Amino acid sequence: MFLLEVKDLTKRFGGLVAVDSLSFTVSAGETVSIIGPNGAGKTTVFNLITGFYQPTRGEINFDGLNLVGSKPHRTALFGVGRTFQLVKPLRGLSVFENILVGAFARTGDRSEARRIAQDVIEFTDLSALGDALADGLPIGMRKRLELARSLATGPKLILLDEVMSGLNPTESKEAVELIRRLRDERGISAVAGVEHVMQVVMSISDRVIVLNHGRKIAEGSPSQVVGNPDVIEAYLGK
Amino acid sequence: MKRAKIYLSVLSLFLIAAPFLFEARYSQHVLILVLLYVALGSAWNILGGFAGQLSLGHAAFFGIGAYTAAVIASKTTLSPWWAMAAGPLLVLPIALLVGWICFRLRGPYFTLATIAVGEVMRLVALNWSDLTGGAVGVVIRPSIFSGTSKVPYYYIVLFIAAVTIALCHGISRRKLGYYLMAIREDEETAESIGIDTTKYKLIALAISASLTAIAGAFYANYFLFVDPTIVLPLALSVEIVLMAIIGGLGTVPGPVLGAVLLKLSSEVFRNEFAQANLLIYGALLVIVILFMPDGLIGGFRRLFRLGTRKSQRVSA
Amino acid sequence: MISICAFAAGCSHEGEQGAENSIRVGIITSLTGAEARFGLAQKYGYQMALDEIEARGVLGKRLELVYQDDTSKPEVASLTVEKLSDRNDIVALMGAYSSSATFPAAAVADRYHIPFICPSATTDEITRQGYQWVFRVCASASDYGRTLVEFLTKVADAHKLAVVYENTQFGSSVARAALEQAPRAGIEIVAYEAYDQGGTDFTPLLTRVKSAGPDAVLFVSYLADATLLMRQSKEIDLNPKVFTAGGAGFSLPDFLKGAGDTAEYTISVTQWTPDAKWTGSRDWADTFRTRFNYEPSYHSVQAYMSLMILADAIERAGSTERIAVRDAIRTSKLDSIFGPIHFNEVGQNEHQVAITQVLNGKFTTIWPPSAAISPPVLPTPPWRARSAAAESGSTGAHEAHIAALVSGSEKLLQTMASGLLTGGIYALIGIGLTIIFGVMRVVNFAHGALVMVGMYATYFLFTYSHIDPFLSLVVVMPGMFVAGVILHKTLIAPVLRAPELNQILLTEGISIVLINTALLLFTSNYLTMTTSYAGATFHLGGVSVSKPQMAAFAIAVVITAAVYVFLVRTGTGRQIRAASQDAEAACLLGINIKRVQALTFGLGVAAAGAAGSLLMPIYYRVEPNAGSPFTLKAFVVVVLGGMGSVTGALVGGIVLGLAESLGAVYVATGYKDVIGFVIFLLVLTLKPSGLLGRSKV
Repeated sequence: MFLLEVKDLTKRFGGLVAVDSLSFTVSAGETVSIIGPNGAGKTTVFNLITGFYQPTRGEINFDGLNLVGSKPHRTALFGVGRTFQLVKPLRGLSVFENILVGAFARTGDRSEARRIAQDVIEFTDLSALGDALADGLPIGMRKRLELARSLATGPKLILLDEVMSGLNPTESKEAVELIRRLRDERGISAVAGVEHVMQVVMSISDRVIVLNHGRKIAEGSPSQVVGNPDVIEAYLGK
Repeated sequence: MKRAKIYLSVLSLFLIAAPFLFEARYSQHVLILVLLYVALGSAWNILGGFAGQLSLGHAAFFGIGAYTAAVIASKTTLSPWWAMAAGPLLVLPIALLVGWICFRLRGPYFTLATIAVGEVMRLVALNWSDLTGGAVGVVIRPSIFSGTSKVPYYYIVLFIAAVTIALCHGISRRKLGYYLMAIREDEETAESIGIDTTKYKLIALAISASLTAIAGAFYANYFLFVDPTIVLPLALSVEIVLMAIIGGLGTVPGPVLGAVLLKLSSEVFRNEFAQANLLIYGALLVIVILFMPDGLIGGFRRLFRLGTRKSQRVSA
Repeated sequence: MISICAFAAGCSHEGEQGAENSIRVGIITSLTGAEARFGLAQKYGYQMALDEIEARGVLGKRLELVYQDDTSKPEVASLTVEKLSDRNDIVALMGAYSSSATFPAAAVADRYHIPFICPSATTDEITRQGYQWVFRVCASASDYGRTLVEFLTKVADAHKLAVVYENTQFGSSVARAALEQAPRAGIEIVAYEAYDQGGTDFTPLLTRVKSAGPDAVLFVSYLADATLLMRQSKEIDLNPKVFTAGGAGFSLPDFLKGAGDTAEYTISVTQWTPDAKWTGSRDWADTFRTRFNYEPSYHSVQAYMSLMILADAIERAGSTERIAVRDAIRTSKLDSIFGPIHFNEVGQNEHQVAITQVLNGKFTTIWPPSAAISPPVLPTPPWRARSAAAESGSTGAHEAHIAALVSGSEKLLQTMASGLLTGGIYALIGIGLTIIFGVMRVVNFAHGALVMVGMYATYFLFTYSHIDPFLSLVVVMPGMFVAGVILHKTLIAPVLRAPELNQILLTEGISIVLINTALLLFTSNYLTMTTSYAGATFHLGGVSVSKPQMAAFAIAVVITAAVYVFLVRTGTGRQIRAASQDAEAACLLGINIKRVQALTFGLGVAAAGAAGSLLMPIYYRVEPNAGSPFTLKAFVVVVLGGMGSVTGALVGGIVLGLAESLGAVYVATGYKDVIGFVIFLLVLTLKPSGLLGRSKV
């Protein structure tokens, strides 16, 4: 059984087709990358899966549940985590408190939530910054916090929207490592939406899906996709 | 932390003994008014400060509480004190309706909608004279406390204020408080981590509105006269917000400080410079927004380094 | 903490020293606030009494007055009673002015067992509560009602009465008295309309009244509304046989000045006039005039009498014990300039109500016959006949009056005309707001206050430099533009990147500062200005349209068109539009965003100021809170038309104006403002992008 199954997903905004008959699957324990040039529709796909948009047509099944029609908080509670392209930490709260808020998705009890948050902050290596205000952090830390916060909600799958953008090579490596550990140590699947084909991303992806103008133009292992002429054309243009 | 506890104990003792320290009726009246506004500011803060939903129509809930007492007094033989329980019950469906309409709107639209709600309530009270007495208002006969002493009223409002503050404090440390703050910071983010923003906003509104209605019911029983210009004007909504913001939005002690300052100074200034008082508050609001977004409480904290707070509840 | 103690200690027993040689009386009146004019009149009255008493003293001691300002607010009045009654040196209290303030204050006085004399509050409620310590000197609302009804049937021969009253304690009680008494005398109430105090436009309400075909109209209002009501009655050509009023605003000398020739022939109940035939009235009036250089009205006399009654009571009681004084007041029997004084079992002084008519610019008593100085002039000449009559030199035509029933289509046209014209002004206010929001996403809660600034500017330009309000636009608009740019650079720019919450609060703070500065500088009195063409009306069929209002509408549309052309045709305008669509992209294109934003804000403020200027020739008056209702209306307009759209603002403004007018005339006047709010909420909920569905210019 697939963890996430997307069938014939389509989204129209007026006359514009943002996502066109997209189908793909993600199994438990997989890390999948969705790549495509700017405007290809990656963020739209994420918004559709998490319930921020409603599809014009198509099915979205997660862990046996139909996600279509669910509001964002419901999909989060079902187990779909999500980070945003433009990172939005809860600025007035500390790093620890940010994660704590995520933890409350799993429990109403304060001490239990604190326990979960403590575990997550250690896992994501943010303990040193626990008391710092989320507001003043550098971008790399903020991205990690965003991931930590999502992790605290206990997801089975995390959708990472442009998780690499703005990071320097060292930070990128750390991010990739974290994603790998998510899969290996916690069994959490990830779908990473990335604009640029990055060596580092390819190294952890089990599969790569390529989008252009809302349509899937290629799918396969990283090496298969990189050599695909359609993919090259999509990026370089005609 | 220890210092804060000592301050708190001294303050509590002072508050309990206050009616005997200040025997002049007028001073007692001012104390009662201050405590009432403390309750109002704190109640508003739950929705406006924690959840970041800037309501400029809270007078509507105050008015409903007050008019519940008025209607009970004029149309039934029951004691108007029952409004302390009936008021919040009545306010709940109205608050939920208001929430349903207004929470679809973001930012300034929400605020504008709350202004509209407040004004509609005032006009209804003004025009539905069969029920509310219209512009003539309703005189309420004192019930239970028929003497001229203000002491029992003082303790009642002290209790209301204490409960409200305790509620605020409790909320701020628990899941509800954190969820509201997340909503204040960014609703989309909040949704993405499993927070049903609509539900929690409605909860905040329900609590805030109920507490405000209780304060309104108390006011009616204390002041013994209710009319639309006293309990339902836009100016009252603005005053409540002013206190909470200047004191420190989203903090527990903020509205308390704001209420004390605003009410005391408005009494001192009233005879000579009523307008100067409001002018100063308007200017303070501008200054606070530009330079001290966490209000005076934030300023005090920085100044006196009162305790190392893990995080500052910065205004949104 | 320390400040609380100091404060409390300070006020617990203030001023109780020195009570040996003087007897202290607490006086509550409106020294500031909306009723300050009346408060002043009362103060003069108290002073007259004090002068007289000074000569002989009371129980061998001086009488000392302790004034408290209720700021024209009921809760403050009650508070002052609390404060004063707690003092051992104060023997008795009197006040306040208005019924709204006096009613709760009396309750407090009664509770604390201190004698309380009400000089001027007429609401019947005061004497229906079973108070033991409260006395009322003036006649009550029911007395007004009874006298008016009697006059209408016996003298005016009117049988269809329209009642228009302000929705306050005072207005409601007099209106209700008329409502109760009229049927018994065979008078049919054809209209019964309440309006929210301080309204700006009575034309829909008066249209509604006109269409009911009354042969008599009763207005119950305070000063500012009285003037506007008469002027606008002339504008829409409302011609009953008789205009009557419930005193208050209609009896102040200022009414004569403010309403000018529209005050002529108005009939009002009164409690006293300078030519009254009571003992010593006329001499008193002369002394008053000389002393204060101010025309005496019954408000002053009532205050005077209250103090005289108290002094007399204390003298008779031989003591300053409150209960003794109270009992002595109960047995008062005086013959005074206010007629015979005698309190009945509920504390009411049985005072005769008289009726005056404004004849040749003066209040002349015309009823009852025993008090009348001159016979009434009835029926009231229709408005158009008056100007003709003035030219031919006669003082009033005696044409047969046919209560003009306005036909259905005339009524509709009239209503729509009023709505359309008002809508033009709304549109102008909305335009300022919409471009500010379009470019900067700033929600300007200070917009209404800025309109008020424009109004004051025009007022002063007219009053001191004699610049016509329409011409003053040339000065006001650029001036406001500059002010807007400065405002932007100093206060607005810093919060452009801040969360919306901060912007809302900041602009709200600016609004508070502007309004209270105005209050401090100009007080809350209405300032009125009368242009030479005030009241000029254009009649087409049965529809009357005010000429100044038409001119204002035309100019508003011209300004709107100019703004539109500016935005579409000029380079700067295009920059503004670019910035409103995408600030970052515009920046990248080399547009100086900061400059554009400052310009836009300046333009928005200039538009607001222009609207204020145009409002002045139409509504004649300004006070610090005059702009406040416009903030919300501006938002309604903008939401209706779509944020950022100039044409949308024009459409939105007109739609709002029409909706309000139609609602006021065909549904209910009291809920007129609710219409705007309901539309607002509906549009926001159902079609947030506005009626036109777009969000750009």
